[in-house]
Amino acid sequence: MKILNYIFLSSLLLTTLPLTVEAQEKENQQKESTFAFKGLYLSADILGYLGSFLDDAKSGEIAIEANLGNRFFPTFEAGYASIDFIDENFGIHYKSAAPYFRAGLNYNFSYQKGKAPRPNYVYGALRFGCSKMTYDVSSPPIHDPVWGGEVPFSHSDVSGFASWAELGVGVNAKIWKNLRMGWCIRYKARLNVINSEYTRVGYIPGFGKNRHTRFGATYSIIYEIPYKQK
Amino acid sequence: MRFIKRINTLQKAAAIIAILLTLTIAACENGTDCNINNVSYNRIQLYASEMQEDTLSEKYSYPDTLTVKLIINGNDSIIINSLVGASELQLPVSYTHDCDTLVFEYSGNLIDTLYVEHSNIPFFISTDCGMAMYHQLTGLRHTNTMIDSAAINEPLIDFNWHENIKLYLFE
Repeated sequence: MKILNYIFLSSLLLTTLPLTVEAQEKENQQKESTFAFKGLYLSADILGYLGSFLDDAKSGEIAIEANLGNRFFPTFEAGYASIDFIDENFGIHYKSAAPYFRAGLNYNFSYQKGKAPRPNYVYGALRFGCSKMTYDVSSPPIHDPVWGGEVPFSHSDVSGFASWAELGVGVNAKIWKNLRMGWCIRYKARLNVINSEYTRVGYIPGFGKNRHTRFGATYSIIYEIPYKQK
Repeated sequence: MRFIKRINTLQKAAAIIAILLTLTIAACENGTDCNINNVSYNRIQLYASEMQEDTLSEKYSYPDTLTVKLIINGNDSIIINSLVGASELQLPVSYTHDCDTLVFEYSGNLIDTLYVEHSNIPFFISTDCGMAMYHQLTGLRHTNTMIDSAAINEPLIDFNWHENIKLYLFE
């Protein structure tokens, strides 16, 4: 009886062991391919520049994006935005120019396991952004409605800081050879803003006017740096 | 199978777009919360002098008529006229002076004077809402006809609701 048990257990081990090893190798290969480096995307946003024709703010932005397994795209964006604005209602003059940075991840919704990557894809975007800025703000004198009299107001080189999060959806499409184009619509939520004693931050570079939430978009020209695996 | 996967991809994208559209509406609604006239008021809460710490949350109303005048450039100007049952007063603060004189006239020709010392903070709110004047209370002085004591509760006078001054009146 013992001999029979021994033969049974041995045969079970012999049949399952190769299967386990094979499954583990397959899993490792899959893990490797999920996050395997596939290339880099360099891009420049042209909407920030075009947007300057619509409002008083203009910006320039470049981004670098790593392709991990054609599925995850860690991204770093850096830009510079400026505004020179005179409000028609209050006569307030607001001027600011500062860099901003965003870091985050794009997720390719068109990704299919085991299939060849598609040249065009839809993606979801998550970003965290921040900007440290200085600004000048001045207004016509403030009139006292009860006592009368006026108080002048002008502040220069005021420091401020803001951080925010973005959630978006975009498209990345191949145009010609390594040249691609893409757009991304983003919902932005302000996380933190540091105002001064006499002013609120009026404009946050990379975010827009200082409100709780904003909507934004990018339209980018993208160059794909291919990566050949050895 | 491939068709189903493509539908899944489109569903994911559609779901994200739907979320973004919802958030867009929220973003539009959450534009600017501007104050109507950009004037901040000094809020004075009245209390009976014998009210204890544990009864301060109970609402007190001054039983008789109360008139409040501001002294503006040497002339008095009525800001509250013969108010009955006053419990809270909202009074403007001067932009250019550092001490405002308030005259309280009670029924029976009783008069008190409250001197409110403060600094002025001209403040830029936003390009949408414009400018405002905030104030920081620095001191209080008063006569003692009906006023037992006065205390600064919240020194900052801005658009937020604060009980800036606690005013204790003899009953």
